[in-house]
Amino acid sequence: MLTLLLAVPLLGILALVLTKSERAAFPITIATSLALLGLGLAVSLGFAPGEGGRFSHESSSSWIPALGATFSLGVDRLALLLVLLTVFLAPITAYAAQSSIEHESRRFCIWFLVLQTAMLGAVLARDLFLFFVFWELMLVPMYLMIGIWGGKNRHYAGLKFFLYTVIGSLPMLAALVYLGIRANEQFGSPTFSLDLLQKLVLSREEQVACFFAFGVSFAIKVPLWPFHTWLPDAHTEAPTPGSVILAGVLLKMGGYGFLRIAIPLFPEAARAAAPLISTLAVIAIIAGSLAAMVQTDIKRLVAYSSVAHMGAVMLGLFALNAEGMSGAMFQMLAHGVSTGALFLLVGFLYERRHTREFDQFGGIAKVMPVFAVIFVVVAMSSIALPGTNGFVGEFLILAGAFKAKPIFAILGALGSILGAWYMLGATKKVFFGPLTRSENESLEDLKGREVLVMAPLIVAILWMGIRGQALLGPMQGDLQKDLQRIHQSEGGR
Amino acid sequence: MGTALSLIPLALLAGAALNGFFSLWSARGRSVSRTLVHVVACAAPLFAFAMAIQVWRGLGEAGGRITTQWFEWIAVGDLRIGLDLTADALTCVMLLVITGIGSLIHIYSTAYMHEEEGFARYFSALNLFTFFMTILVLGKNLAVLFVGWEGVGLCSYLLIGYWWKDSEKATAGMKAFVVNRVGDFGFLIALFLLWRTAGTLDFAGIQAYATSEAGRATLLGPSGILGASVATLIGLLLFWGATGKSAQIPLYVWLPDAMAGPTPVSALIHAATMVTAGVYMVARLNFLYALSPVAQGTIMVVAGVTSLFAGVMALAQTDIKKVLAYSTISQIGYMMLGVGTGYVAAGMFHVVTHAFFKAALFLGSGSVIHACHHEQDMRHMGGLRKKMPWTCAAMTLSAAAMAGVPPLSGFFSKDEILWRAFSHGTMAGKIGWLCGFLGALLTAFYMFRLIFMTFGGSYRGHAHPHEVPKPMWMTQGALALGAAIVGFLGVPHILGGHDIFGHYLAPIIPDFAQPHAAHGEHAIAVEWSLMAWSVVMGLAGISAAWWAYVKKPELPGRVTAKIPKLHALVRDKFRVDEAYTATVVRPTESLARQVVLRGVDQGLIEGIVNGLGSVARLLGRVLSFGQTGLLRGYVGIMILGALLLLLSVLG
Repeated sequence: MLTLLLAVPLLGILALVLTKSERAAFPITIATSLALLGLGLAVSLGFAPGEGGRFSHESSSSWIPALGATFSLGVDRLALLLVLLTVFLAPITAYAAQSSIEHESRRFCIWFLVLQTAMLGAVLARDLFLFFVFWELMLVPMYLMIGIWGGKNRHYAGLKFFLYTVIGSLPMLAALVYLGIRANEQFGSPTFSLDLLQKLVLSREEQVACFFAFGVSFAIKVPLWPFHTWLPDAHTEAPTPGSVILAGVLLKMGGYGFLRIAIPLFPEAARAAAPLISTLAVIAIIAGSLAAMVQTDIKRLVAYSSVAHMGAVMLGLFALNAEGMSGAMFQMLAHGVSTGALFLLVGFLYERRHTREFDQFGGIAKVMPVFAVIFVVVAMSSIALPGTNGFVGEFLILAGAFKAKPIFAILGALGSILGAWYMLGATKKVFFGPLTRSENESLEDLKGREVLVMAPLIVAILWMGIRGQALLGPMQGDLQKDLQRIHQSEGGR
Repeated sequence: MGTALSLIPLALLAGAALNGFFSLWSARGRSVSRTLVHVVACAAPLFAFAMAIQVWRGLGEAGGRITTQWFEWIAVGDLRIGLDLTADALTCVMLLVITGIGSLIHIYSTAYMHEEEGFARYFSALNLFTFFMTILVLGKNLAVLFVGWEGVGLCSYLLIGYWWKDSEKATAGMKAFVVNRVGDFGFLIALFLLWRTAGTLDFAGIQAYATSEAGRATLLGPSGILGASVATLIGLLLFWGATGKSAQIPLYVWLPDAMAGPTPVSALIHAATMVTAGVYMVARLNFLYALSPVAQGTIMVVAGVTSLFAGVMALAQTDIKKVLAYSTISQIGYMMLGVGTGYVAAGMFHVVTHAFFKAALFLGSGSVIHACHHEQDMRHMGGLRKKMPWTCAAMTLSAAAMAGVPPLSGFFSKDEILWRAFSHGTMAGKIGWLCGFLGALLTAFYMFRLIFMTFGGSYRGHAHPHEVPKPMWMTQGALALGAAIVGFLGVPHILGGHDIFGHYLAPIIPDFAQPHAAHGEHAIAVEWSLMAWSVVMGLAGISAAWWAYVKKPELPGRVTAKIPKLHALVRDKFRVDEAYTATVVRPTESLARQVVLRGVDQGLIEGIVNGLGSVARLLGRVLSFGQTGLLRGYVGIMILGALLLLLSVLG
């Protein structure tokens, strides 16, 4: 089933290659994404944990025997939630991409689908080596999306994204190799199975070194301050669908990496690093919000707001308790939906005016009332108004952080003031005041097609805000198991 | 009974949703029946009012508390939050005010907003506000209260900025939201602290904890911060939140700007209901505040000073709504002073009476503005008593009630507060009382200054004022009538009354008997003399206003000419806004621009990154053997392959 999930985008690519038609490209991609969504739902309906009581739909086949690397897939509830986020956003993004990708749409679609496989593969991998391959595979399509379909400064932004990520991957690769060697020593045969690697006996120094080797790579992806400066450039230059996937799913891979790999494999190091990472997370929240406040480009503002929100995710994760980690996981999903929505909205505006500078707008609620209403709803989610998904995540993160160390929660909560400041400021600059520019007088309000794109996102924002427990409840069991491991390591030494 | 309870917010939410739909419908250029929108808009709060009456009447039978559980909202780790509603006596008081006065204001709005295009949007937001307000008072735990607390903030933002085409009005809405977020920051921290201390956010649970032996000991124990006890810390942080929502020093600055919204909005949100949420919250948690004399003392002093300070600022305003805005800040100060004494019925009673007279005054001012073609400056009014007799009568009656003229409502409620503060037996109580006592003089003066400037003398403007349509003068009349008589619910014992209101709230007040204010001969004598003195202050204020604005109209000009600097300072609201801009807003913005963005991001981090980048590029050029850009993407995979080979050899 999971293999099929990874294969479906590849089938779509096959179809794209065979038809050679530019016009059929998007229909094929949308159909593939819908199939992906269907499969994702089927996986969640058929979810039945196997022996360990955690992973479902497990499969494993031999892949590179000499290395002990296997093609092992499996999904627990945490992974399932990210799978659902990915397949939920895929058709929406593909559908919206039609109007923003103006050339070489077939090539774009191919890379779009490669990216889907890579992201799903990274989430589902139960083998560290396989994870690494998918992780690196994510890089290429995103780089090309920015570099080929991006804005004016796309080469710089693409290269920066690429270099940041590649440099981040090198220590991860080294740690991977090291773990492989240690596993071979301890178990008598090479293996990269995540389950077995958890049983590896590592000294404190080894743990810390490996944790940071993986951590740097994940922190760049999140991105955690001070590794974040690639993000504003990448977002600003990326085409709308690129930004949506980047913010919606790709950044989450960083958080997921910590949750799935760095924390469970090196629990002792994770505990030791918690104060440092929490500090960086708090800086990310405050500095990201402050930087967002003084942007002149709407998309850059949203990008910096992502830095702040993902900082909150890290704050929750490294509270290392149920409240914080659930909040972080929830915030990843919430941020995926609401920031994805924000980038789509900014994209709609850009398609109409070919600019994103604040001073080019003002008062456009007059000509785009429906757009304005939808934007305000999404903005409210972004600033964590109770009743929207943003609140549930932020509230839990701060509760968890408060439980772990109150000062982090107090500093983190400053983000809720700054968030309102920059987000409502942006709303005001774009929508309110007199309509001064004549170019804006003829702006067309959202078309039915665009409302259709936004509708599922708005529903998700409200549903998650009100019935978020439907997502929070299922993740508790898995998180408890991880937490037990973390606290065992505390008791053990 | 639980169904009736649920129907209160649900009816309002349905109204908001329907009108929201109509609003989008009309925004797309389709026509929407005005009558339909009005019917939906008014039916929702009226229905909610009927349900509130039912809940109120069924309360006794249900043992003083009706609860209904919707569903589990957040249940993670130690955190258990249900979306549960509950109503007790205190809730019922708030519910009746919100839905009752809210209904009248909805009805008034149908006429007031008659010429507006976005009427469906207006009513949608007004219904939504009422929904969140009922959630705020119905919440069974602090988290659900917070949902309402932030939700009303959203609606306030939307309605202050209702005329968003005007940049200043849009800014006012944003300011209200952000300043409230500053307050909510404290609220949120208090909430977490309370959760970690008491292990629950449920009001009943917190109360059980605070009255248990162990809980009491913990709450009275040190918090480790500035020598404050845990209860003090929680109490002060929550009050910090309340200074935002209820516009007290230092976070009151958003409320005067909030007058940018349509006047019925000012009446409902910025006078009768939302701004009293902080008072309600302190009353709701009175058992917690009872454990912290420091927090109570702080509330009494801050509230007292706020009431006096805002009263002073009201003296020099010429915009009719600004006078009312500062008077609201001042009056909430009285309410806070009341709940700060621990005898929360006093503060809550003023919430109720104020809701009547201030809503009537705001609606009246709305009528005046409406009649004078959007003129808000009282210097261009005058002589309206003949042209608008109903409005004049309603406003004068309400102003008299607010000035504390017996036997109108403000007399009873203000008197109770001042007496409770005076007899509290603490320095803070005395300071609060003194401020409130002096404030009473100012209140009477600025209110009748408003009345005389608006209705007295002869008309100084250029419009053709006329009495407003029926739905407007009738609703303001009904509220004024309420302002006149609702005080009889709280006639004190010494006047032969039974203090029905106080007894009604008795179940939620632990120290209802007020041991330190024993009803001895001496106490009764004090109560009598305090009462007499406040009446004297009120009448003195009214007389002074009459002297200065009717008898000798040239007097105010002469006085202000003698003290031009002082007058300018008061008129400019002590330039507190300017001070905040200079000390908070500008520094934050330049920190963001100069330090965070230019210094750290673009300077330091980018410097390092680009430095590394050029090294990499150099290496790339050496290693690339003339290959072009894209292939670099695969270099990573090549390295990977090489390392794999290496590893397989080792393995």
